[in-house]
Amino acid sequence: MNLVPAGPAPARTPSSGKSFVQLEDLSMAYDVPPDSRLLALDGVGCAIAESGFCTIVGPSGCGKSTLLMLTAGLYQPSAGQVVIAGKPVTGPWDGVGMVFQRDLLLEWRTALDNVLLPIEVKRLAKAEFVDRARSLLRLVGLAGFENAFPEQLSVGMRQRVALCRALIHDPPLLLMDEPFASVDPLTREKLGFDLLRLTAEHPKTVLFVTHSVEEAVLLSDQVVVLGPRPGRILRQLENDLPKPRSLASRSDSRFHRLVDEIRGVFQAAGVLS
Amino acid sequence: MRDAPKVLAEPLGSELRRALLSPSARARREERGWVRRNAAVLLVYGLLLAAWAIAGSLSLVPAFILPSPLAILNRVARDPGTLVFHSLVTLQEVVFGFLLAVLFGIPLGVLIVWSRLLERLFYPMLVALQAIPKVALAPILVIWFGFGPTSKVTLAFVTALFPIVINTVVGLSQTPPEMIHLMRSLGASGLQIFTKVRLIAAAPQVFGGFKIGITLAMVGAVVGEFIAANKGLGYFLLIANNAFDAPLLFGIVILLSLLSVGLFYSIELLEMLVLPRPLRRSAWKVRPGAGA
Repeated sequence: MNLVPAGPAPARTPSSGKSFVQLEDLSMAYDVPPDSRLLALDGVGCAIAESGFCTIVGPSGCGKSTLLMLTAGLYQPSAGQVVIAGKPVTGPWDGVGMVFQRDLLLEWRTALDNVLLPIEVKRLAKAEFVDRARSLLRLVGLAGFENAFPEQLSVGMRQRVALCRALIHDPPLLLMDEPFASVDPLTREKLGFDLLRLTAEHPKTVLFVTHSVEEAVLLSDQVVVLGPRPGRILRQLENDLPKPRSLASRSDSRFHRLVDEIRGVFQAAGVLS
Repeated sequence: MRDAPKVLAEPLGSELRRALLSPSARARREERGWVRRNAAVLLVYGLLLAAWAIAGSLSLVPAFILPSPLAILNRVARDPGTLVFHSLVTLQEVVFGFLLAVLFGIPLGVLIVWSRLLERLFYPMLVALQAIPKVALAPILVIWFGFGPTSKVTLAFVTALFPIVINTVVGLSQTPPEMIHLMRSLGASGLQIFTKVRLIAAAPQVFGGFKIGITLAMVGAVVGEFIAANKGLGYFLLIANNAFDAPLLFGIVILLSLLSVGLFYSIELLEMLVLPRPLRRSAWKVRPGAGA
């Protein structure tokens, strides 16, 4: 794990093919009081290459969020295991950045101090990360807003701060749970490209959960399609949409072919009817 | 800078005139601005007071039912020392009771949020305590703690405790579960999550509890003085009542009200001083709308 502040991005071979995250036959059941069990995930297995961008797309309640919790080590699976860089996950591990649908910014901290929250929690030397925090904020177009409080920022700007907070400690893995779902469609696209630019500059393995088929295709190297509860993998696709992605990617015939294919999978599963 | 839009709305020449004004003239202008902003409120209060005074001077209402403001003022001015003495007694009971309620209420709220078992243990007890009319509690407290101020402090404490505990619990429960996930994914300990996130996020709610608590503490103290006491505004109120001294009775009631208002706003002042700007009075503040 690289913690050098603000320096050039470490040389990682992008999508070297070596898998960084392996989900091995994951099942997760929740106890529902008084005595029933809810199966949220059922035998999910997939592998994500180092510095790969994997989107997980599926209907509400298919266990997408559970998958992220398991990967972060916040929940323990009922069966199967998560393996990160060859080591099985047994609890919260150092090296995860998380972004949720809600930005979860602390209202009483400035943008800069919100970005630095992970450094404080990890008891690292804050002064060494201030420059890095500033450069991250600049990278998402928030230069000049370092000392603004969240209430002074728009929803899109707030989510950008949340993104910087997830990246400040330079975690190798980024877990994103519908991060742009509460943002208007135009800002949403902009944020997606911001994310691609950030991960190009600081290579990360990304696990990105979304409801939107278009978003799943536009951002990813790999799409995992989950079916309705209990969540199972309906299909895994390699995304061969050429890079770098831009608004023009939407008019590429491969974009439409992939979107149609995923829609077809959902239709066959009875999700769209 | 609150005046900026008004400046723009004025003709250009006024900018120059404003620049030429001496500081004292500017202060006078600002004073006049304050009067203008609050004119409606002042007018309503003024009219009410005038109507009251007129009703009194025309003897529309018998003086023992509603004495005129002037009569009240005269009665209060005749012996302000005694009023100050009893006020200080009551004030002391209220403040001590309130401080005790803070001292016990916040930890109790924390414990209730912390542990399911303690929640099940303390919550019904608190609700049961709150359900008792405090007047009914007063004689028992007098038996336990005697005639002196201790029984009143205790009553003030008991009345103020409930809102402080409840608001602490509500405030601490506000942190969304994702935030806790986020903190845990960073390796945060329970204590870190508590001190860095939950406690600070709860602060506006806790201050709301303080504001309700301090006014209730006043009620508690006065009720205690009503039941058995030899000093305090509640006691003095009973004396005035027995003497059929309506102007004094009204004077004491108004004094009680003013004291409560003062205590309320001193909590508000404390809130302004202690809380970081985005958290102040957030219960009333509407978050700026989505994007645009």
